[in-house]
Amino acid sequence: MTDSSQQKQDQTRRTVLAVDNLQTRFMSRGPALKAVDGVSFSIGEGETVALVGESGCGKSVTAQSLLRLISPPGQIVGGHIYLEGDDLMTRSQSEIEDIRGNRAAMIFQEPLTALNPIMTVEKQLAEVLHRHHPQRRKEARAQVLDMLQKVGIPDPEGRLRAYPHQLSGGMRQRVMIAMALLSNPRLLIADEPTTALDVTIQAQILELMRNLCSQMGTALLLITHDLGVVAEMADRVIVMYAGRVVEEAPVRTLFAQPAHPYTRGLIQSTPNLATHQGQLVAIPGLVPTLADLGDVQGCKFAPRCSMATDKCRSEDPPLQTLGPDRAARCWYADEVMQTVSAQA
Amino acid sequence: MTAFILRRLLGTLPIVLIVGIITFFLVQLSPGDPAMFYVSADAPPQEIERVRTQLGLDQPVIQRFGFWLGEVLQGNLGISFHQNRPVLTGFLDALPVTLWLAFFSLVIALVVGIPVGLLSALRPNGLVDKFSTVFALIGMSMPNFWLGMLLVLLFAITLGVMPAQGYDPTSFWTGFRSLLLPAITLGYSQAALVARMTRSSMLEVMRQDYVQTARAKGLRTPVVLGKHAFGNALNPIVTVIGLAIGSLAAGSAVVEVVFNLPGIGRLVVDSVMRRDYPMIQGILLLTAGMIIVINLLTDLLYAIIDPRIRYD
Amino acid sequence: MNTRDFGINRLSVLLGTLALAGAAQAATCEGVYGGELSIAGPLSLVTLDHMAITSEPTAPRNAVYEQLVALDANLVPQPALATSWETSDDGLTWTFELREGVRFHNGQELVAEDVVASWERYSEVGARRFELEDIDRVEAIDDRTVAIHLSNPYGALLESISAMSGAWAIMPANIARELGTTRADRAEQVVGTGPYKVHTIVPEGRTTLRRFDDYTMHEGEASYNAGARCAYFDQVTYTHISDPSTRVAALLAGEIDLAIQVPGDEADRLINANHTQVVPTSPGARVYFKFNVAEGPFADYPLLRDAVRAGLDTEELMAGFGPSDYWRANNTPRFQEPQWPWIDQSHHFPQDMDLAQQLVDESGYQNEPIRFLVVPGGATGWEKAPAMDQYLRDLGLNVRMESLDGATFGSVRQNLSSWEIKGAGGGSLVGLRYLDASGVDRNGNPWPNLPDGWHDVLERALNTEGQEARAAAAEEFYELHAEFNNELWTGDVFFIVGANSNLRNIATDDSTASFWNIWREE
Repeated sequence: MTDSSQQKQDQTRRTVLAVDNLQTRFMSRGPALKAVDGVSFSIGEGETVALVGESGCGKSVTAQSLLRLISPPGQIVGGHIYLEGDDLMTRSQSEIEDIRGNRAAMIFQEPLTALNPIMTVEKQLAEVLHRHHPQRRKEARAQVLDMLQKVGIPDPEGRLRAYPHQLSGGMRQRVMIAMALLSNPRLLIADEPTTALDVTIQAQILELMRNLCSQMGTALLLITHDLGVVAEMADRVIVMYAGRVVEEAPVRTLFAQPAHPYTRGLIQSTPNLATHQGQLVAIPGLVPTLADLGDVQGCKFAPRCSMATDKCRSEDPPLQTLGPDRAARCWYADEVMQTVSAQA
Repeated sequence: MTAFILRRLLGTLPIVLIVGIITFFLVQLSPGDPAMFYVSADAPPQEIERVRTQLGLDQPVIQRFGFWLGEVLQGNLGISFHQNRPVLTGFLDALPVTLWLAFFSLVIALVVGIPVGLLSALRPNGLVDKFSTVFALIGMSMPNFWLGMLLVLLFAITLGVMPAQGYDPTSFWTGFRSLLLPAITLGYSQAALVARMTRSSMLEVMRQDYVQTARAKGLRTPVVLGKHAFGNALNPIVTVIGLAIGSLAAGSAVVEVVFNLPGIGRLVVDSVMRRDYPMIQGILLLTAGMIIVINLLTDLLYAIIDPRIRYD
Repeated sequence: MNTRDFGINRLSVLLGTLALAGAAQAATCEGVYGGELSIAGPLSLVTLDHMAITSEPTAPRNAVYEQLVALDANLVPQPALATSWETSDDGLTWTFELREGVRFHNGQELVAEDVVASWERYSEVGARRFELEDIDRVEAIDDRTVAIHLSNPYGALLESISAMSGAWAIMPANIARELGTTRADRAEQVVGTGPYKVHTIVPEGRTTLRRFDDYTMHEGEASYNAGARCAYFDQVTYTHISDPSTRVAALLAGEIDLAIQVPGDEADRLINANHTQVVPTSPGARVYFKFNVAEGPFADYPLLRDAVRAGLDTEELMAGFGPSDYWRANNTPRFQEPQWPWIDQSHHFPQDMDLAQQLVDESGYQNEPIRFLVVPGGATGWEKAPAMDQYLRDLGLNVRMESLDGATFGSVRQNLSSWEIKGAGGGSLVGLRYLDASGVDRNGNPWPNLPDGWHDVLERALNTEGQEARAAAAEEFYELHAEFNNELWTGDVFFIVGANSNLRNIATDDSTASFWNIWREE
C-alpha cells in the first residue's frame, strides 16, 4: 500500500470517530489541570491512527475520554465526540454503557492487570455478549470459542476455564483483543497494547490486531509512545504534547519530514529509526507536569526546543494546516521540514 | 488441599499445647487462692489449707502441671472448682449462647459494614462517606459496655420493647430477642471496622485496570462494583472478619457481663474472679483451638475467593 | 439440769404460742398468696449445699433448709427445728427437743436420727465446722430428742449452730449418708424442711424453688432467719446477674422483682422510677481499715495509727457510698436498735487535724512508704479508697494505693511484708469469730504486742455462762481492742435491696434478701 492510495481510500471511507475540541481537566485544589486541551481528530472506517507522545502528554486521558471513562476528579469539560455521527457527549450514562464494549471497545496496556484475576476467561468474555447481546445467550460459548480461535489461542476449549494468571502475557493480550472484538465494534481503542510484552510477542500481537481490524473494518486508534510500532501499524499519526495535538500527518510523511521540532526529537531519540544518523539525540528537559503548564507562556514546547525564539516564548502557535492531512503547531514548521529534508 | 488442611491441623497441636502451657502457668502463678472462694475468704487459715489439699493445690506447681498435661492429652480438662462438674460440660453449656451472639454480631457487622463501606467507596468524601467516617469513628472509640448500657436504657427501660438482660432459649425467636441488643453492641465496632476496610479495599480495587476493563466492556455500574470490584476487594475484608471473630471472642466477655448472658465470656470472667483454675485453663485452651480453626477456615476462604491462591 | 437462755416469762410465752400453734399460723400469714417472684443477685448459684459453701447467696438455701435454732434480728437464737433445749451442769451436754410433725420435702418425717446423720456429714464437709470443733458427738436419745456432747464447754454453741451459711443444715439421714463428702449440686439431693423446696438448678443460670405445701410453721414473729415463714409465692427464681448496673436495669425493665445489692449511686434511679422502690437493709457491712501491726511503719510507730484515726472525717468518707440513708458513719447513732450486745460502739473520734499532725510528728515516722491495699467491690473499695488515700496524703504520709482484684487481694494480704494498711469489710453483726479473728493475721498467727489479758478476756467472752455475762466480757474485750488499735472502723454501709413497688413486707433487718415473707399486691 502506498501513501497516496491509502490517502485516497481514506477520503472515501466513512468517518467512524470524529473528535472536536475535546477538553478534559482534572480538578485539584489549585487551578484545574488541563490534561486534554482542545484535541480534534477523526478516524475513518478500517483506518489505523496512532496517537503518540511521551508519558503524561495526555494521550491515555484522550483515549479514556473517548468512551467517557474519566472518573472524578477528572472531567470532560468541553468538546464533542462523534461516533458514527452520534455525539457521545449528549448521551446518558446508560446509553454510553450500551456503546462501550459494543460499538466501541478498548484494550489496555498491561494484560495481566487488565483482566479480572478471579474470573475465568470464559466468564470475562461471555459477559460482553450477555451484556450487549442477551438474546444470543445460547450461542455465547460458540462465539467465544470462535473468537479465541481467531485471536490465535491454541486449545481454546481448554482455555475457557483458565484464570488469567494461568496464561502467558501474549495469551492474555490475545484474550483482551478477543474480548474487545467480540461485539464486532466499529472502533477499537488500544492503549499501549504491546508495551508490557517482549519484542517477538509484540510483533505477533500487532499483526493480529491489524489483520482482525482490517477484516472487520474496525477503525483502530492506537495509543503508543513507540515510534517503531507507529511505523509498523499506522496509516496516520497524531503527535500530542502537553495535552494538545502538535502535529498530524500520514505516517510516511511524518517520518520523512516532521514539521514540529518535538516530532523530530521523538524520531531522533528512537533507536531503529535513528540508526541511519549514527547517533541518538535525547530531547532536552523533562516532560512538563500538568501543573507546570499553567506557567508556560507561548508555545508549551518552547522551554525544551533548540529552535525557540522570543516569539515562541511569548505567543502560543495555532495548529496550522500544512497540506492535505497535515498540520503542525509551530511558528517555524516550514523551516523544520526543510532542515529535516536537508539532513536526509 | 487435603494435605494442606491436615498439615495445618497437625501444626495447630503444638500451638494449642504452647497456649496451654502459658495459660497454665499464667493462671496458677498469678496471685489469688481458689480455696478462699471455695469456702470463704474469712475462713481460718487451717480451713483454707484443708480445702487447698482437697483441691490438690498443696502440691508443687510443676507436679500439678504434669498431672494436668497428662489429663489434657487424654482429653480430660478436669473438674471445675466452682461448678464441681467437668470443665467440658460447663463449657458446652455456655457455648451456644456465645456462638449465637458471635453469629448475630458478625451478621450485623457484615450487613451494616459492607454496604456502608461500598457506598462510601462509591463517592469518596461524599455525604455517605462522611457519615460513615463519623459512624466508624464512634464505633471504634466507644467502649462496648457503654453502648450496651445506652441501648438498654433506650430500648429496654424507656421504650420497653427489648429485654434488658438475660438469655431466653425457649425458641429461636426468644433467643434472637435476647441477643439482639448484645449483638448490636458487639457488632457495631466490628461493622465500623468492616466498613472502613471495605471502603479502602474497594477504593484500592477500583483503581485497578480490570475495573477499567469492566467499565470499558459497557457493564452496568452495579455489576462492575458488585462482581468485578467487590470480588477482588473481598480478601482484606475476609482478613478483617477473621480478626473480628477474635475480637468478638474477647468482646463477648464484656458484653455478656453487661447483658448477663450465660456464655463463655461471662464464664471466663467469673472463673478468673474466683480463680477456678481448671475452668480458666479449659476455656482458654478450647477457645485458642477454636480461633486457630477459624484462622484456618479464613485461609481456606482466601483460596476460594482468589484462584491465584493455592495451598499445596 | 437447768434451763437457760430463756427467762421464765419468755418460756411461758413460748409454751403459750405452742399451744395455739394451729391458730397462730393462720393468723400470721395475712398476705396475698400466689404468683412468681424473680430475684437477681450478684453471685452465681451452682449448688444449694448449705453445709459446704458460704460464698453463694444464702437466702435460697435458708428458704430450703432449716437448722435446730435460728437467729433473730438481734442475733439471739430462737427455736427452729428444735423447740427447746437444756444444758447439763458441766456445760458439756446440750439436749434439744425436736419439733413435732415436721416433714422433709420428700415426705419423710423429721426424726433425731436425721440430725445425727446431718451432723456426721457436716463434720466432714461443713465450711464452718471449725466453730464447732468442741462437739464430740451427736446422739439420738429418742426420735424427738437429740443430745450434743462437747469436749469443752462452749458458750456460743447456739450462735454457731444457727450460722446462716456453711451451716449445720438438717437433711434426711439417708440423703446425708448417701452424699457423704459429695457436694449436693443436683435438685433431688437438696432436701430440707424449709418453706420452699428446690425445683430445678441450672448451674450458672437459674434456680427455681416452689412452695412446700406441707411446711410446718415456727412460732413467733418473723425476724431475720427466725419466726414464722409464710411462703406466699408459688414459685421463686434466683438468677445470677453479676453486674450491678445490669441488675438495676433488669429491675427497671420489669424483668426481675428483687435485686440484691444495689450500689448506692444507682439507688436514685430506682427511687425516681414509679414502679420500683429501694429498701435499705441492715445489718449491712462493717467498713474498716486494718493496720499492719506486725511490720512496717504502723508497727514501728504505734502513734501513727492514732494519727490516722484522728485525721479522718468518717462522715465525709462514708458519703462515697451514696445517699445518706444507706450508710452510717461511726460518729452517729447506729441504725439498728436494740443493739447486738457485742458490737463496738464506744470508740469514735472526732476529726482533729492538729492533733493528727502532732501525733505524726511525735510518732517518729521517717517518710517510709505506706502501701494501701484496696479491693474493688469490697466495702472499702473504689467508693472510699481515693478519699482515704487523700486523708493519708494530707497527713504527709508517703502513701501508695494499690487496687487489686478480690483474689489477688486475698493472697497479697497474707504476706505481711507487702502492705501497711488495707481496706476491710465484713458482716456488720460481728460475732465471736470476729473477735477471735481480730487478734490474728491472715495466716492464723497472733499479731505481735497484743495487750495483756487479750486471750483471757476472749475466752471468758466465749465460754462464760449466760449471754449477759458474755456481753460484759465482750465489752471488756473491746476496751482492749480499742487500746490495741489495729483496726479503724469508719462506719456501716447498708445493703440496698431494689424491689418492684408491688412487693410487700420486704424485711429491712435482713441484708441477704430473704424472701419467705414477701408477697405481691397489685
